[in-house]
Amino acid sequence: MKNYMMYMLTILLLSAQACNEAVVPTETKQDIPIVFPDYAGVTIPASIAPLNFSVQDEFSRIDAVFEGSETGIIHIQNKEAIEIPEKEWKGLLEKNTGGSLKVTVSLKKEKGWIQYAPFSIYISPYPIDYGLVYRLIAPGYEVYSKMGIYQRTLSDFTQTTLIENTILPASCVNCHSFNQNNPKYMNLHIRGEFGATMLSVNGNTELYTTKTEETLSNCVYPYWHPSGKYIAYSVNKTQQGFHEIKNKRIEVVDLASDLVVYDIEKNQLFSSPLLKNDSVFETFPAFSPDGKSLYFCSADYKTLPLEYDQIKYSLCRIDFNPEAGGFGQVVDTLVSASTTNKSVSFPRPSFDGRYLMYTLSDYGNFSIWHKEADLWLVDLQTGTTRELTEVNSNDVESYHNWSSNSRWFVFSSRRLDGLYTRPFIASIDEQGNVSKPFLLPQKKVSHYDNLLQSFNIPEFVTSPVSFDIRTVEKKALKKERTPFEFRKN
Amino acid sequence: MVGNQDEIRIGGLFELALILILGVSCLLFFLYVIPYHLLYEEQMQLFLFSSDYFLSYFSKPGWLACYIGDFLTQFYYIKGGGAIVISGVLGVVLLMLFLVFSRVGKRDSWLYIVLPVLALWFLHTETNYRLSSTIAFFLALFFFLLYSLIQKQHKAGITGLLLSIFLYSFIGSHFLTFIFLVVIFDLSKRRYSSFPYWLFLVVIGICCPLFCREYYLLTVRQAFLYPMNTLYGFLPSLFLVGLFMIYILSSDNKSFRYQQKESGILLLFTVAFMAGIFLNINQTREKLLSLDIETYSENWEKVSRKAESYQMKNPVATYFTNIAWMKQGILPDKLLSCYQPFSEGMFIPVGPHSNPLEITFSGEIYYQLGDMNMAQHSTMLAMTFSPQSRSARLIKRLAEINLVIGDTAAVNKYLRILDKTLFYTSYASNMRTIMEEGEQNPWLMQKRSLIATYDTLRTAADATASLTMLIESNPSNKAALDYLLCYHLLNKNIPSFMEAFDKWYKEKEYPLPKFYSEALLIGLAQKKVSAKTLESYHIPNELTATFMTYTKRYQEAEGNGVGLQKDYGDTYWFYYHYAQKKK
Repeated sequence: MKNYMMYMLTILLLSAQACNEAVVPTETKQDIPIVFPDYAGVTIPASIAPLNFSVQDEFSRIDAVFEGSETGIIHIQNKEAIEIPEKEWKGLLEKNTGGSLKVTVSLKKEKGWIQYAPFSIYISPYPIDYGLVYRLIAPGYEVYSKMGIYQRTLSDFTQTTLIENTILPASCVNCHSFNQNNPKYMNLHIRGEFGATMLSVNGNTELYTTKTEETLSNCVYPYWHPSGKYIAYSVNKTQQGFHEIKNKRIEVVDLASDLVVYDIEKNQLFSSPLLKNDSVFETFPAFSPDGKSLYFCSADYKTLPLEYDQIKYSLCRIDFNPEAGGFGQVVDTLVSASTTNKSVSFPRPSFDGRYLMYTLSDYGNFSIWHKEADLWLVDLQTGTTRELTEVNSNDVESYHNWSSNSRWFVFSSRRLDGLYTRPFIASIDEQGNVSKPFLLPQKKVSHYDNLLQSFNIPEFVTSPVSFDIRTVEKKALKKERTPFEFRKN
Repeated sequence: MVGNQDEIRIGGLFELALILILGVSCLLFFLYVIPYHLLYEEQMQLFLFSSDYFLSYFSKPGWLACYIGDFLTQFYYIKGGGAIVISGVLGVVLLMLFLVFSRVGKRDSWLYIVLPVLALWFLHTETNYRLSSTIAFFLALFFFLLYSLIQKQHKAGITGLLLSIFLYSFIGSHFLTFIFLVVIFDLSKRRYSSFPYWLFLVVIGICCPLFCREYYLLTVRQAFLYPMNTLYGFLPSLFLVGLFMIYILSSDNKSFRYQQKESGILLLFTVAFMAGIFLNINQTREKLLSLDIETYSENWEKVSRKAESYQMKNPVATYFTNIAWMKQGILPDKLLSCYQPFSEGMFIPVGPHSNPLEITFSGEIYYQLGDMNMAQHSTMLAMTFSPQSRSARLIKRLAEINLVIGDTAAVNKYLRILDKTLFYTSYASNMRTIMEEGEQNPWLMQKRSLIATYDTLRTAADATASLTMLIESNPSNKAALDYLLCYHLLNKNIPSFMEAFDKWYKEKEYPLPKFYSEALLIGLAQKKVSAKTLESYHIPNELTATFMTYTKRYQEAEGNGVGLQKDYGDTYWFYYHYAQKKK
């Protein structure tokens, strides 16, 4: 019986092989092919899902040979796109970790096979986290539209839904946040009729009302303290506006904003006069990995909406005392808007404490719709700052975050079509060398073409998020919330 | 034509005639009574021939019914296609009902099966009722028929059980119809020992949506209704179950006694039901859809003609009328010849309480004026609120908007999607040709000439900022200028009207429409300008004299407009003094 099965399997494999035509090039090109997604020269983690791709050209068959620098080879031929079997791919990457793959692509056209110059894919020795969590949302902001928070395994193509607002109609779910990528500490805001902030710590899920008499609004942009005892939030009064010219679309401006920190054990918000200043806009808080500093963005007050393009945020830092739960008396400016004449948003320190990445745009804090928005990097050891030209494009680069080992970062970019943000991943080594980023691979090459939603706030997670949607739904529908209190000094 | 006891009765002349009349009536109804409705349904969905698209159906219950339903809905694109598809599907449902009734034992009384079909017809007059729901009903009948063909009770039991579990995934909430039919069928067979089995089926019927809704991310209500969205969707099932129940309770357990007097009652019932269908049509919505579709097709004269014939007192109807008049260049001449609820008929505000139709309609004016950012924003919102958050019409519009603003990467994305459709590939090809021609293409050149060239930041509700920016960018955009002037006139904002007129209209060699002259006279009188200034506006002396007379009579009337209406009812002066907003 066993022999019979083996015999059948061999026939099947041979049949499959027989479907592949022999590639005898009638023409050899000196250029590499224009593949989509652009995986030529990228650096990938050894655990990443297969980099399926196609070529932006007309052809009747496509052929690709992946040859490991150490060992192993995969040969794929298809009609429309290269779709690599997951098992073979994993084996090839594992055998060549730290090395590279040489990819030779041939296209069958009317006159026969055309072979292109091979390109390389580098396999990093650094591991990457388990997955990504992101929100998928249509680029519309006026009414609560269909949206959801999803979890994607990086080693394969599995995407699971954490929550969709179909289960809480007319609600908005946003600002999912984890403590240094640990999914056991999760923050999620629900806006609308069932509005709440969900905090999940080690399996205990509670819904809160975060607006207090002392604060401007509900808590908005979150960032967990590494101890898991605090969460820094911005509180923002916002207004949406629309541009007229073609290269700009939507702007969201803060009419007022402050920073607060939430003490989870004491259920108390607290702040500092240095972070709650009426003449200054403060936003985008982020704790340093040692928990002793709070980075944030700060801009001088301007008259709105008249001077909306004069609002330029600096990158600032203030001491934080995790033991006592208090702030220092001085605000340091790391990147000054008055020097750069630009605006900083989304400061994100790497978890090893070496770097801080931020987005730089011409003005304001809604960099996700600014075509000029690019990623920049501060070396916190040397104090130098530089543009990440290796990953930037002519279109928007905005939200970003680090993997738990700080060797990878994910960022959203609108470079594919100017409209929809897509997640790109790049690596950075100990010397600060940054690789060419790669688009999050999908099973079908047409996935991004067909998708009419943006990837919003891509965050790494170190393990699957355990999200009890029944509990969240039940608690949200009950409308019972624990109110945040504000510490009176 | 009556056969013996064991044959299925095909029907007598009366039955065949009734079915034929119903079929033709159905076809004509969808062809001529609500044709725009079906076109709109097709436009608001997108059917792609791709594996990704197919797999997306598994994210909600009823994937099979929804996929077949949406596949068929795409044929509404063809003129008359919607009527043929719906009539055909209802015909197939009728045939299936006939087979089902035959299995249950009603050979003499099959004509009652028209009742569930009439209910389906009734449901199809609603825009948010999808063909998928009718397909789901059909599949419930089909699977029940398969079940009923199984002779051995234990085999039938296992099949029924398995089908009940899986059917929720295949057909959605109509799996409940299947379960009820199984239980009633067993009842009719006097299989009373199967009571625990029926109970188990009912428990499955309740538990399946409750358990699966976590996977499908639906509320409890949605889980029991999907792909329908109201309880009315179960109307055909209700009729069917009712008929079965009557059969079981009837004295002769083998069949209804189908008698002459019953045929009369059935006929009357059918006629009454059809009358109900006609009466149930939301005439306002159907008229608005007709204006919307013709506006989308840029048939401006047709929109004007239809609007004038409808004489609707509805802000959305006024909105389409104003767009059509603007495009024909007759807005300032015709402004007050239709219902004008101040400026509410100029733009459709979008907010959390807007319905999907309003959101879809709201972008048209911006697109026609040249405010592509607002047009894009409205279109994307409308896409999100379309039934499946994907719409062929809105993708076309997004492609057009991005082509106008020169964002070719985005255009190509949308065109690649349309390449995977059955009916929009030629559209995609045409768009590529326009893209290649660039500004050599007259359509593209004209559209690009309207867009704003410098920037401002404004709120969504600030329509005047949009119009002002368009005129500032392109002072020859007379459509935008007329729209702005009329907007001020309707709001009785004479100072803003005068300011805009002086800035952009006065020095141009445009003809002076009557309403503008009348408004100018009010403004100039308020400013108490000199005769020389008055002269500079080239207002006909005759009109100035009439204004003097009107003013005198207005002062004499002391606020009572009744006496003035006959002579001045069609003037802007009368509107200015007497038009009031409805509270």
